[in-house]
Amino acid sequence: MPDLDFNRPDLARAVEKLTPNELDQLPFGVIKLDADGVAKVFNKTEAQMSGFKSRSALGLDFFLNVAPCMGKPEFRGRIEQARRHGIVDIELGWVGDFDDINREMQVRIQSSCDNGTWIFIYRDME
Amino acid sequence: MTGGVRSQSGDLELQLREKDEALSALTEQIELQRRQLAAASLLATHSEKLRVMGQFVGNIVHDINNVLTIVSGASRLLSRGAAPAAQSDILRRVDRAIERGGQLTRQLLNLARVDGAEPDVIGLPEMFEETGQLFALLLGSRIALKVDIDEDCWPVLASPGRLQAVLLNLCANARDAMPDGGSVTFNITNCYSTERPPTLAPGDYVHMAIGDSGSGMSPEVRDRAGQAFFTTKESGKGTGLGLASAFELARQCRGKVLIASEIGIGTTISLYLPRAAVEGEPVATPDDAIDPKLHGNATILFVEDEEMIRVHLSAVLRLLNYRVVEAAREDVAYSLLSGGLKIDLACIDLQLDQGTGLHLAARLREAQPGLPVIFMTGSSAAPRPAGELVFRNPIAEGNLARAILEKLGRKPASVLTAEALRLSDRLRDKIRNPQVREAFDRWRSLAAEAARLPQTSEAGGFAPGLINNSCLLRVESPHGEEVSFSVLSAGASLIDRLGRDFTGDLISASDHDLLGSMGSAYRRALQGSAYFDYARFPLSHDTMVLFERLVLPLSDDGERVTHLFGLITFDAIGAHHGGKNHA
Repeated sequence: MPDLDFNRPDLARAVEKLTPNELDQLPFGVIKLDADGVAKVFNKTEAQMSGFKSRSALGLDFFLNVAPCMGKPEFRGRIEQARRHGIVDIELGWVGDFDDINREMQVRIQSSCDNGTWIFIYRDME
Repeated sequence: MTGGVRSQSGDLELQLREKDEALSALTEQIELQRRQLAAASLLATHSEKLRVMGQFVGNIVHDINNVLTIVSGASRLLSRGAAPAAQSDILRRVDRAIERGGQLTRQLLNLARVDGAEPDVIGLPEMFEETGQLFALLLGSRIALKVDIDEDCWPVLASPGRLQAVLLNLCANARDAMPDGGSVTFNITNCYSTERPPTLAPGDYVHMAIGDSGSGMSPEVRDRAGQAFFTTKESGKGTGLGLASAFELARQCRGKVLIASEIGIGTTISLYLPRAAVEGEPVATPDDAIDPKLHGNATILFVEDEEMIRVHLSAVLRLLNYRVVEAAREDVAYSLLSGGLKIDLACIDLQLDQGTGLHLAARLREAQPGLPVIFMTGSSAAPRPAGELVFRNPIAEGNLARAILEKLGRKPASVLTAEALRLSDRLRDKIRNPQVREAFDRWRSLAAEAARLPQTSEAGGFAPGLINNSCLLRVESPHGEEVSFSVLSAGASLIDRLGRDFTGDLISASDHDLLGSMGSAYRRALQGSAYFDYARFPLSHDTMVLFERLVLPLSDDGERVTHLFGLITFDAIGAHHGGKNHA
């Protein structure tokens, strides 16, 4: 498993150096959206933890078809607001996942080098 | 030279390996002995309880006979055609007798239960409600019993079975000291650290004083009273372990036993046990303390093979406006769900004639993940499935109604559990604004101190420096379609940030008017836990804004989450989490 600190400031740059296989082995979820919000990367960890399982999320509009709950203003709104300001570097934290009201969630959103957006999702699985 | 070093190193390795093996053999042996000791201790407590029970079995039979006499007498009167006006009086008497009989059997089952020797958090008022009647039976009719327990008595941490056995033993000693009758008083009070007897270690205690008006002890007897097998009773009438067991319990719990006695006046045994930090299990609430409006509007599957119990308890739940679907067997219950029935909760007998309650619950939860289940059992020997709520028959209807509300998420446990506090504690280190963290600490310390949610009147003291960043919401329509909140107050900074004054507005759980929905916060509040979320986003190329929102549950009636107290802050921080400036 690649040794990658979820809290490092340049997380997107570090992830961009990993192979698809290494991305799947990360202990946190990784999603990459293109400029139109279409999922281009959806690692195994995220597929398992989000309940998306084997269905392929690639090629789908993330906020419409994959995670409509993240289409809320506090999530999508902030990403779009940040994109308007240039480089995206946002961190969000809250308590409560779709199946566990006590799960602690930490999400980091950073610009990718090709005008897309990385979304990193860490779930405290205690 | 090199060969010598290698040989020395090889010797050392061998020695280390041998020591390792010896150590692991020793550890295994200690573990085996620890398990044997725990089993023996469990057995000793249980047989001690049964021995005490044997002393008043005659009185128990007498009481049960009284119940049967009243019921059979009423049956005869009614079958002879008692006047309509008299019928309701007769039935009231039957109700009272059945209630007393039910209490007695419940208390006997509680006493006969094999409790773990492990300490548990014990609420003394509840323990006396569970077994209090037995003390009177043990003392007999010639001795008056007076029980006085502080209403706000703290919980203690002890083995419930052992504490019951100790109190019954002390009671039996008091009885034996008064062959011609007299009185016994149980006084249970909180003892603050500042008021504790000087021989006790610092800390708060619960003081249990058991006093009798008997013959008293001489100073010589008093000094030896705590020794095992010391007894002044005739051979065969006392084991000499009664008071010794109190000393042993006190030692295990880091408490103390003190004896005050005067010949001809009487004896008072004072058992001091340290106060437990928080209470573990929700306690029973009087029926009238529950808002009846919280009930209803849900479907309950009631699975019980004993027809009388099923029909009766289903009727009780229907009176509370629930839709109740009854089933007597596992396969019938399961086919109801596979046939499309949607339920909100299941009450299941653990020992069904055909099938088992646990198996059924697992199947139902497979069909409906997260289904809340309440188990029932008529057997005192039935093991309690871990993490499940189990009621023993006869079931107190008020407690069942309350448990249903808790399971449906319509009210939090009236007593905060250690788990609720632990879930809140996990958030503390995520809070970066020191004043918000301080507010959390104050809320937390009030909640832990009183083992209940703080009140709105206490919220003002949480964050005096952040009044402008606070808001107070009142919970409206706690069940029904969707919970909503009235904004009672909003601080000036929030009004400024949000662009308008929300005071007086009604917002729904999914509205984002207060910088995020309140739905998740309310769901956490229902289990007695705080909620926290944050966002960090760029303001300029070298400055970021950190938004933090802490939502703390409050309860003005000690029963429901009545209010939410929110603190919302915006702080400017350096681009790499450094140098925070409060905005």
